[in-house]
Amino acid sequence: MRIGATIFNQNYSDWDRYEAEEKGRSVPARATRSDREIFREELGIARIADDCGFDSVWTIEHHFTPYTMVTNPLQYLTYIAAITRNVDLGTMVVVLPWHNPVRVAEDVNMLDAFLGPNRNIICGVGRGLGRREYAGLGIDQNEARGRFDESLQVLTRLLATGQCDFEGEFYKVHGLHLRPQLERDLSANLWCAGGTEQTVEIIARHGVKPLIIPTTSLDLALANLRRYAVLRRDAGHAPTHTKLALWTYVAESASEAQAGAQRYMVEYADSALRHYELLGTHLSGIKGYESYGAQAEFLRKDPSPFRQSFYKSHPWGTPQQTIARVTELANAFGTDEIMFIFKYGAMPMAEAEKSMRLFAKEVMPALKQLHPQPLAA
Amino acid sequence: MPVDPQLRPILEEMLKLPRFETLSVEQARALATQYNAAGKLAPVPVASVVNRVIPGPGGDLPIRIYTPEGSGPFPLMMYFHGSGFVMCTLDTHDRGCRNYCNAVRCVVVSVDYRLAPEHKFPAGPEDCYAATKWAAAHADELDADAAHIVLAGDSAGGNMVAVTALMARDRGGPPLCGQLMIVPVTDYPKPGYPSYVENGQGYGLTAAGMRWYWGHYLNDEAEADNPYASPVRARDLRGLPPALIITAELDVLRDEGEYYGKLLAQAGVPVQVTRYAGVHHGFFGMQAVLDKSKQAMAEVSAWLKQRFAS
Repeated sequence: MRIGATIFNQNYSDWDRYEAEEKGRSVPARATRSDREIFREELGIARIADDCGFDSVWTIEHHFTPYTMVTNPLQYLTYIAAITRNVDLGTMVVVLPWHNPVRVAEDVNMLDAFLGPNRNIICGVGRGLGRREYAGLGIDQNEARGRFDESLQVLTRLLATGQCDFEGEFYKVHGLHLRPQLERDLSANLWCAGGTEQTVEIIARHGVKPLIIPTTSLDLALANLRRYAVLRRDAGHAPTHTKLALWTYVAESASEAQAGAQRYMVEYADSALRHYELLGTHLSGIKGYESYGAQAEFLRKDPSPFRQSFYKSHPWGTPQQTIARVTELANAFGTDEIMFIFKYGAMPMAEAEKSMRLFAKEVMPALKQLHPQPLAA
Repeated sequence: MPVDPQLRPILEEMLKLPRFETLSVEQARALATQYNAAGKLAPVPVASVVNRVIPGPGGDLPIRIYTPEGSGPFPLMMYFHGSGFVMCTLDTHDRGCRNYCNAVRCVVVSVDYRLAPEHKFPAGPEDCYAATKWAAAHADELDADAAHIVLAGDSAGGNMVAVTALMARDRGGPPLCGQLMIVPVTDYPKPGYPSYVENGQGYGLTAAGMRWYWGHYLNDEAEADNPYASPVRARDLRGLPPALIITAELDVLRDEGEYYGKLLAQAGVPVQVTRYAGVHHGFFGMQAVLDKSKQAMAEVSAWLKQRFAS
């Protein structure tokens, strides 16, 4: 199994100020902890990953809130490509409805040209959920599903063959040829996140491989994935591996690990609730997001178990405990690669680095020996 | 048998296209590329597709390597695309190669052999033979098994298959375990093939079209007797690998394909010839819309699996 590290760039301690400002209250204009300081120090995660034998470095796409500061993962990874020598690079994810799919294909292709034949760009895509993000980018969230479906088709064709002829409602593409010309089929490294029933259906039908980012619940993600496996089989596609994101905290002692995991994973879960507004009432009213609406209704009754269950389900502990939990999850999800998040919430970089280096030394070698079977229906 | 009902509307659309023999070479190539544009349909996913350039007899020879999911070594298919000796590219036949790669779980090496009229006979088959030799010698690198190589191609690519198999026999290898010819060109046009009259026009590829293609391919008509141009004219067909020949009832090339099958059988080569009724020259690539095409692909896949298991 391959092992990756994902860079998140959260400024967790800024949430209270951010939300107050959003509500129009009089608050300081700037975050207490500098965004740019966090942005720069987390580049260290890429350097550590490259030096310690990780297979890949990943990042994400979000906009406007303290949840992260990576607004364009392909731009970010192009910089990472230049400061590393060995690792593959991955997006988890490029949110398709926020981009022109032709430009996404071009950006992936250009990054592939920088990397050459021995390093890969793994292109994870998704549909996006954040209301503030859709609003800020000026895209009607009710169009998300249609834009996503069409973008995925345009992107897949361009990455597979460098050519596209497509006539859709949102995108019309004719006689297009990518430059620089492809040296290989880049769609073999196309993966897609799906948090809703609708998205799961779309990606299963198109035979796109699943990338799982369990920002809310591992149980829910596994249930979604089982449904995907059935739909994928019914569409005539062979079983596939998955790629899975997991939050982790590794320490020499179980108590130290628990203290770290409990503090920062709960902070992370809280940041997800706040960024996605998972407690809000808006989701049930948006076309294609009704399932999140139902989830929000449930969460609003009592969100604290959500934050706790996030920390309880992700792998943390001593190296041995971590290996055991990751092995269990890797087999359950049928993964060929796990992207670990080492720094989240308000965790200081020094603490993340300590956990990550211990992981690289004591956990990673055992995980690389795993060969989980693809998930069958 | 009348035109297959599923084919009828497709054929009606196709007959609105200009006839290739009325076009310049540039126009014909543009039309073929546009008609078969790679980006029109959702791609068929395979584990990897890599473009490479290998040394060929005329300089750089581009190839495209398709690898299936799973762990190798996989059997190897050399694929020579249809062209009328003049047109088409790795891109126009990309989808078919992906289908073979998945259906039979083999590595497919598709060869961008040189085309006429810039490169006349025997540039094309010499490239196909060189690529086959190269692939056999680099099988490890391709994650392929050099003991299980099949040649495959459609139309003029079927001609490349027959000729490359002759060359491999005549020149001491590489050893081949099968030759798959889909609606192949096996002979220079000559009287005696009823399909040239019966299907000479109205079904896409025309008799006049075949003469136009051959005119670009050969340096002069005398070359038509060279078995590396017209494999049916080979004096000795013994020792060739087992063959599957697919023909189409409404194809100009039907009778020469079946005749080559008959000659191979007479020479003791295990051969299977199947004619698909009510369909035209280009039917095999229409698996998305024609049941006949799906049936043919099922037959071809079963034959390939059996050859690769030998």
